[in-house]
Amino acid sequence: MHLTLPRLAALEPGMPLLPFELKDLEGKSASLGNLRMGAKLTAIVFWATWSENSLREIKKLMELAPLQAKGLQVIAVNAEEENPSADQLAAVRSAAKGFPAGFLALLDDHLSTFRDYGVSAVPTTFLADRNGVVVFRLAGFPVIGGERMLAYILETLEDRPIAPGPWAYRPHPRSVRYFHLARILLSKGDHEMAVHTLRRAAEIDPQYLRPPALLGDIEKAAGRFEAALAHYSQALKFDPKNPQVLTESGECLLLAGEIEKGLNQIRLALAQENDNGLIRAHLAFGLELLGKRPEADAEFKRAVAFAPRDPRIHALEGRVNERRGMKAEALAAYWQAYDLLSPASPKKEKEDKSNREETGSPKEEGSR
Amino acid sequence: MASAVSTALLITVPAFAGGGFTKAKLGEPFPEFAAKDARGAEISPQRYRDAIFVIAFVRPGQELSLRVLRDLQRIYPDLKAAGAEVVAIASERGGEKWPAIIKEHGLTFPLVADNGEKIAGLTGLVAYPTTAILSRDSILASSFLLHDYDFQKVMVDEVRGLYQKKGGKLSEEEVAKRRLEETFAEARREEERRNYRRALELYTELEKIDPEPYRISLARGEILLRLGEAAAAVEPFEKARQIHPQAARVLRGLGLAYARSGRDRDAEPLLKEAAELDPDPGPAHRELSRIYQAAGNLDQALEHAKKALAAAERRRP
Repeated sequence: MHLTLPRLAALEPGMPLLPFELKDLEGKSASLGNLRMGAKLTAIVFWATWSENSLREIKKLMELAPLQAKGLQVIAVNAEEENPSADQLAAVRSAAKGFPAGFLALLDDHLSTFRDYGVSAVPTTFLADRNGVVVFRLAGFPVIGGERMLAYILETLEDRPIAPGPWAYRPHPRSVRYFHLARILLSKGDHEMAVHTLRRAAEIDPQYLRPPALLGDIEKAAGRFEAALAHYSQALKFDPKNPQVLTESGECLLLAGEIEKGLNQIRLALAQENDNGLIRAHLAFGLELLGKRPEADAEFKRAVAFAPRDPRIHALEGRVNERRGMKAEALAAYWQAYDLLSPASPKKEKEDKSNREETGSPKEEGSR
Repeated sequence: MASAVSTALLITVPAFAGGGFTKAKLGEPFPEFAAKDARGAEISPQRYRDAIFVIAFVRPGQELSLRVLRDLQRIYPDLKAAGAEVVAIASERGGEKWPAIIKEHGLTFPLVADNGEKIAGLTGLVAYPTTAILSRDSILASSFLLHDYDFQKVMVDEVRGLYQKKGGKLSEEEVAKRRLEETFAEARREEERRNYRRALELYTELEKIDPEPYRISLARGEILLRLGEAAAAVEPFEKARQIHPQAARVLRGLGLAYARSGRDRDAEPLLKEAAELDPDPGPAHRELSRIYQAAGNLDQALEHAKKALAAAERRRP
């Protein structure tokens, strides 16, 4: 069975922010609609105390605190753990004490918003414009993407012209709606209608890269690699360094047997987002296909350290282990991926707690 | 294509009876309120005790709210003929848009501004739009959350149904039925809030009086599974299976209950069947994977693990 996981990203540039209602650290409810009122730009960062990159990202955003007076709203959504313990909450409160006035710290203790936003790793930062449309989505602590986002923030708040680039592009709203509809159709298993809808989205806005990228994912999942690569090429025309599309295209090349080409694309993606666990996991997969097992293992270790909650990384690990004939390890990895995708039940909460007692906190797991 | 888009939107936002409010309860008197319309006339259901009242809570700039208003305007003559009054209670947010909306859609029933969202607060309004129907003695007879393609028909049928009753009032039996539905809706809300123990208490109470044992047994079983009480979950699922032996949820639930209480041999055939029938076969495959792993059959365990993963991934858009 050819197992290829399509991208999980539920919220992407060009789409409106999804509404949410979470509690702040005092237990008071806060809704996105109310928090965003009057803001020219809204930055939502998903973070956790056990993630060093999260703390770096928060520190970087804290340096922008003076820009709050010019219309920047920063919302830090803590995704520490599903049903965090008292100790974990204490760690969150302690870290949040250093937040500047106006920085909102919210707790996503069921990871529901984390999942709704399609986040699989912390930190992930969304920057939305005054209409609540996502302009940037940054996973990890990427240097290049981060600098561009910072420049965009300054340009916008100081009413300077926005430098040309994919971030400045606004896809046609109807095209975005069709794209969103296509993803829902895919989730309901209606591939035919999803493809039709994506083609319609691409007709309305030929420069919007998401529809061809998703068409590529669909073709790749069906094993039609040539068709998939054609769609990915189309998507990359508009943003040749888009790390998500490069990674998907790179994976496609790996699966088609063009391993060096695939690895080159994945390395190019990694150059844009060095801390992206999923891209590293794809690199690991490519190295495995080349027979470079120790290097593959090292990259998987780094990938899991960056994004221990990304089910796609564990699914890739499962695939690699299966390829090596390590069935028990493959099974454990697939189960891990599945359990991360499924919403927690209280039973799972019991299981998770007992796991933590045996193996330590997520922070310790992440730094193995 | 445009019709496919709008159809998809309607399908994903169905209306249902009950559940529109957290404070106003089906079968109970609706909270008293009074508000003034644009002409300064006072609107209050309690002051018009001879009328069946249709109250629509709406918000400007919201597509579903506009659909509710348009539909109510279309059926307004039918509702009036059935002895109903209609009033729209508008969220004050974006209130400056209301005059233009009233004019554009030719609304002839009153629209009152809910300053400070006080009326919404009194009723515990869950979301906009919500439409409530009150009987002649101001008992909340029905409530409908959001909008659906058959909204007009449902409204007219409900109001006519009330009109045909003696004095436009609900009988004791009808009030009891509505209270039962309200309790069921409350149990569902508690479940959504993850207050599983409280939801279980409510379902257990309902089981004594609900003439539809299947849905309660299913709900009890599923909550007990969530709470990790697999052995206790067996009984309600077995009850549900006696009523609907081929229902995928029952097969899945009972299979999981058996498996998690150490009865793998009983679980396996049920889970295999559930995996074929269930629109969400992930949990069945996941449990089968564990069963085969425990039995030392890693190849089968891997097959089911991958199927579980594929199913879980498909669920996420």
